[in-house]
Amino acid sequence: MNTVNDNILEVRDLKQHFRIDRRHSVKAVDGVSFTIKRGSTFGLVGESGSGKSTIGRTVIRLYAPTCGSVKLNGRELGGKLTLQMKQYLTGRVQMIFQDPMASLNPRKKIIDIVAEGLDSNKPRGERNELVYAQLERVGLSREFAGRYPHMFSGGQRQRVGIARAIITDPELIIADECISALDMSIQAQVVNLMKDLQTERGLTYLFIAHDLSMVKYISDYIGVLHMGRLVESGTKDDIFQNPIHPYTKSLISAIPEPNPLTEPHRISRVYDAPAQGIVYANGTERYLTDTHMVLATDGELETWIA
Amino acid sequence: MQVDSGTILNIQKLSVAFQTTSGELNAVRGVDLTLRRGETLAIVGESGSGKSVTAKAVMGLRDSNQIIKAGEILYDLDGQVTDLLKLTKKQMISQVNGRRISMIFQDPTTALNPLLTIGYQLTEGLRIHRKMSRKAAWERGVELLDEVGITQPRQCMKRYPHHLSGGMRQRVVIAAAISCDPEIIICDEPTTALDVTIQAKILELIKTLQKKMNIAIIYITHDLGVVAKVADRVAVMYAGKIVERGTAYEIFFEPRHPYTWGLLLSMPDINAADTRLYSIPGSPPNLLHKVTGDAFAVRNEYALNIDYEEEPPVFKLSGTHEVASWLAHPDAPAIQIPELLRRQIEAKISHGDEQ
Amino acid sequence: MTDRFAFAARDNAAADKPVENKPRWAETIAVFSKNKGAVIGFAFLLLMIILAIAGPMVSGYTYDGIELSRQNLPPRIQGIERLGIFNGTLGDRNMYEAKGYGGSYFWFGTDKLGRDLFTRFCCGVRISLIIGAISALLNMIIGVAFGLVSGYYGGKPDLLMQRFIEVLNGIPTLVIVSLLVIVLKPGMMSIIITMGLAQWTGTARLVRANTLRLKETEHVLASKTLGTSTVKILFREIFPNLLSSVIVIAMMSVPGAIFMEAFLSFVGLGIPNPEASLGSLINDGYQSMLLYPFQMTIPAVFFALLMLALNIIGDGLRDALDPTQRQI
Repeated sequence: MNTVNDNILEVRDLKQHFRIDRRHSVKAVDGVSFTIKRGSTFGLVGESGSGKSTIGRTVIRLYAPTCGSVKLNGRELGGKLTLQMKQYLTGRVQMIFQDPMASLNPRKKIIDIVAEGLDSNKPRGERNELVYAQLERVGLSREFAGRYPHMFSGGQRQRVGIARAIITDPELIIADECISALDMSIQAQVVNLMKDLQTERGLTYLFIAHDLSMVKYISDYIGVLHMGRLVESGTKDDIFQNPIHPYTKSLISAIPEPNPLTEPHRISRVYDAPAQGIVYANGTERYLTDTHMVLATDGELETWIA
Repeated sequence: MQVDSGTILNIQKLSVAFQTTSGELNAVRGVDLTLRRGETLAIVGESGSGKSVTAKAVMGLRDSNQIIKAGEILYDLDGQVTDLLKLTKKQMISQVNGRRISMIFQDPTTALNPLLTIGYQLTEGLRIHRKMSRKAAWERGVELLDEVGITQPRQCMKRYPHHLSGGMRQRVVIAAAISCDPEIIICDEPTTALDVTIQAKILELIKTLQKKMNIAIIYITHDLGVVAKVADRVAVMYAGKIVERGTAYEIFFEPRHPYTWGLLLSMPDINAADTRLYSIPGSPPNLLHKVTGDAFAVRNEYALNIDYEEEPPVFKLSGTHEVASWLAHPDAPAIQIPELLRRQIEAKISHGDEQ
Repeated sequence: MTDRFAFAARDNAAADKPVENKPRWAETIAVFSKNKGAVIGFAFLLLMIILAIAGPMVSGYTYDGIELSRQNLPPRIQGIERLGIFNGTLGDRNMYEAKGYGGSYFWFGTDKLGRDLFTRFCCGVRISLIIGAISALLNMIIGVAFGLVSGYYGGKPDLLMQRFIEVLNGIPTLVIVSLLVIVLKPGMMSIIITMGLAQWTGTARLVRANTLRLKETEHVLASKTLGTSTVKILFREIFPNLLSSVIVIAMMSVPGAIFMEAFLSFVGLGIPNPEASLGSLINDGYQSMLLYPFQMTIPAVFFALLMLALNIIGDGLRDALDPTQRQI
């Protein structure tokens, strides 16, 4: 297999600026690059306003990128999108959303929600069978198909959302905070389901979250996003065993451990970029290893590693 | 009622229902809780388990369709034990809310009035409950902001909520909650809406303040990591009932209820290698229907026949540890803690010993 | 009884049932029927509709049958006349016997041309309700189409469309309506058209605001990522979710339209004779208010009650359909 095919998604220097008025614009994403290997899970972590959801939505072209390149299977998706490329994209990239209440149309039956991505010319019987198969795959019985979303609990709805995403047989699924609105025990259900689907179908995930603990569990590669910039990225071990950037360190230290012996005494690290004199615009991407990248200046890198 | 010296709040057999268009929803089905002075009691449970409803009942926040079916909430009001459920809304506001018991909500954005300055909202309680003069209250407000870690408190007093970040707003809400030196603070998922790095800081702040002011805290959350950080004692709620309670050590290291096992196992373990997460099958029950037997039985892989017939009583395991499960009955088959959980617990204990 | 403490058979399928909730329509009806005012209002509206349909058939008279010998007869109703009211007397004289109609009963009396007022009243209700309903429908269709397009596409088209609405709103409705009716000649059709044209701006603004909100919801985003066409997104994802608020505002606009028609009739621009509407009946009665008060009072009272009923129904519908108002 050649290298092009190995990377399902390549994002280079992606910028997404939203214009507020003539003079002001918000730099939601400001020069982010990463690649995702086929069949792996890339976890994108950051706090609210860091631009992580914007990246996901730009990849699936809910927003047109301000500049930069997004390549899916080596094909350029940045710039203006032709109808042909749009179809190529919808066939291969799907999304699971955050809010299990808002992401399903309350006025549509489950069967119509799940079937939405299918070709509307498909015969009805075939379409229904496909929907039933997906529903059963996510652990919902086919009797649910005729019901409306409000009859389901949060975890069940999220599984309907997954069924909707996998019915078109996509290669890449963008999971935008898809578990953060769920209870802990239900989160485990959904994450397990996602992992199973990955092994069965060779899916690739872009897993967007604000909470490192689940990201660590599900991801192979992790990117840490802050203020629209990727401050550190690498394999799971790079990030957790050898975190370099102080923001990554503070994120890791903020995860509460379910251990009443140690947790009450632990004090989390503070991160305050201006106070520590860190200006992201000055930093450049530095590779410590093939996979481990940190955004830093020479001086910063030295002090952080020391 | 027997009140030992340390107990300041005693909830007895509280049952709360809601009148909905689809029938009566029994959100809380007989909850007993005691809170001691200066301790933190965490109530853990999934959404719909009734944990928030219990807390709101203490605060006297009554929805129009809410019915208190039974129970009492006993609180020592100026040397006289009073049932808070029997107080009128007016009495609650003038004597209890804010002054003796205050609450911190999940979303700091909606907890503050966007049209009033921080200073005004912060000093409101002081002026009303403590009868302070405008000036004295203002000075106290500045001190409070300083105490909750806001830099430049004087400028902050003059600002409006939308000028502040989410974390700052929650600090203001905390400052307002402690402004009248309450005995009890109820925290209803106070950090869920915040970013993780800020979440940790807010938790640490609440802990420091608690120690300093000797406040008792009821902490409502679904996050066991948070529980481990703040709680002295833990009550696990499921379907409107407390299924297990004990000290934090007992709940985390000697859990007895299968639901607690499931909760503990569904936490991703950051220190362990890739093992598959355990997840409790199914969904929580619909409390619109009558529950026969143990509400958890259908999701419980250790369910006994009797679980479907009869509600489990509370079994006392130690002075502090209680569990409502038939598995604790002497006739029940002896069940060991799941192997995976046992290993996790051992790892945690040894990790704790190292430090 | 040791087997009670044996492990129960595991039936995993039982563990994952959907939450049984009532269907949405059943819940809506349940909330609506809890609102006593709305139910009474609805019953009154039904009564009026039945009257409008069946009234002229049972009265035995026609709405335009002129008979000068029986002009200005007061109300007389079988049965109730024994109680001393509605017995056909004016002052102390029984007008029916005086005019030689001893065996006749005109429930609401007659007007100055001797037409049966009950029949005219029923026809009046019919025309008023038709005007209200059709103009509300028109208002809804124009408003929804305009608001959906304006809200969903945003940008330049939205800007232009909003300015257009503002210009329209700048002209007083009364002026537009009066001018249009004069130009189009008075009549039911022209009143309906003018009413539809004058009222839709409010609906359009409401629909636009809702569309702006809905197009950012995750289920609409999901449809976009699934490659659903814009038309389908508009009509399957957005429209059904704003339907309830549109129904409410349309319901609320019905009394407005009836009221406007009554006003036009009152200033002489309404339904031409011999046809009648509630407004024109009140206007006719008003001219002999002091001599024959019943000619104005009866339609005026019913008109007021109808307005009240429609408004209360609108309120009840809003409470029942609006999910933010629904409890748990």
